[in-house]
Amino acid sequence: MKKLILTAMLSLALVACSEPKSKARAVYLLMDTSGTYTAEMDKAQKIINYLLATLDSGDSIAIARIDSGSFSEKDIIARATFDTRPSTANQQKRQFKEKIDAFVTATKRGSRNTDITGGVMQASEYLIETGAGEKYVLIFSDLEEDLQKGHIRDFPISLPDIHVVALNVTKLRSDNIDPRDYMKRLDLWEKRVSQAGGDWAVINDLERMDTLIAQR
Amino acid sequence: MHSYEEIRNKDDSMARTLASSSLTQFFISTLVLIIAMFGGLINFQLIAMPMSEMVGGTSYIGPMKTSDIAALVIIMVEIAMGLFLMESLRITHLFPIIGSMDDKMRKRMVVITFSILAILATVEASLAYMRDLLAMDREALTQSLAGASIVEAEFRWIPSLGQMIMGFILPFALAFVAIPLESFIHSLRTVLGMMAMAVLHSLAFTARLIGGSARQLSKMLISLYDILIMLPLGIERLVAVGLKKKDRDEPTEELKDVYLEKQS
Repeated sequence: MKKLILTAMLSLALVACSEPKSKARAVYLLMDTSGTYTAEMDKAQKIINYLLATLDSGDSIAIARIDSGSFSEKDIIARATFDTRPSTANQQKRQFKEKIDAFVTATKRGSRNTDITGGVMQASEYLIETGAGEKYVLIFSDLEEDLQKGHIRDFPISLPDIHVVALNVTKLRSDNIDPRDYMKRLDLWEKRVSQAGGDWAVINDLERMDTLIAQR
Repeated sequence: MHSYEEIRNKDDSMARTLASSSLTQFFISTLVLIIAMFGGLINFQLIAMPMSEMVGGTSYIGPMKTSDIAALVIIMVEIAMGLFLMESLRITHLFPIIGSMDDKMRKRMVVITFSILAILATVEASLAYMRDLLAMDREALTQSLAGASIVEAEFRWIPSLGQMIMGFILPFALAFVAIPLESFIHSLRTVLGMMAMAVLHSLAFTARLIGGSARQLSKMLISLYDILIMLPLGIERLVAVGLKKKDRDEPTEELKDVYLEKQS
């Protein structure tokens, strides 16, 4: 009987000591900076402002550009994990906004190629490192991948428990001629993300961004 | 003296008067406690947000934020200090050990509890002010993120001062919760007894109802059975009478043999 009570108490203590799931959120926004997409920067800025207003103390955010070779830390424009004190977190958000504004002002020419897969892989790496409970990759792009010669990206990627959301997926001129190209592109990415263990969503109307991240 | 004698004699009318007095006390003290609860809630709202500045806004104890728990603890301590203060002033009599202390000790206790309460009230006032500053900072950030120009509101100091005064006053107001709490606890005994009585009465009534219904139902079942069984019993009787008649009319095999012998 004593052993039974001791075992029950020990297991209760172990359950109580088990590490609870983190309630923090981590968001990684990939901004397409190729050719035509530089004109859409103001929209991306609005998204970032929305993210800054939504995220709270303890949450992480990183903004990276998609260029010719995106699987690199150098493509991360700004990143931050907000302090536990709200006043410091607000200060961090102001500094973050300043960095983004400076980047948007400085970006005049778009990159030659578009390596979305590399950016998504970099995002996955960053998000897993944060240890956040909710992880989001936001892709602000037309999803048309255009790799540099020699770059290999046609292999399965890993996005465990990551919500991938494509934002403002603009239709290309060729999509207007044959809309199936647009559908195919979306289907291909949905398939890749699902196979990688993540879930996929598309938000083209930026007015509906309030559904993007679960409010706390 | 007459009332006392009536109580001693366990007179029904006196018991009813006492119960109704307890009920009145119970309802009045419940009402005041509910008001105090709302006061506590406002107090909590005043200090919960700035508490995250002190203990961090990301740690959780179970499903609750640590900062919320810290704010609740402050309010609970204030209520506890209020209880001790009222007890030391001999306004309430919830803790006989405090009431029976000598005057010197009691006065010391009054000073200590009042000082702790005053310190906590000051802490709350400063937290309320910090809350206002944080809210302003957040508002300014939201405005800058939305691209709007930051507008400085006129007379902004009025709500700030109001919050600070509320933060200072509410702990002292909560201290007086001890008085309705005592009435509530005293009257609760009678009310609980009355409730137990009501529950027992309703249980007895239900049991009686079920018993009576079962008895009447079994009587009905017997009558129903009689109605149903009447038909097969009638048929059986008719068949039996028919068979008897047939037996009487028809000669048996032996009689047939005797009859045939006689004829031959």
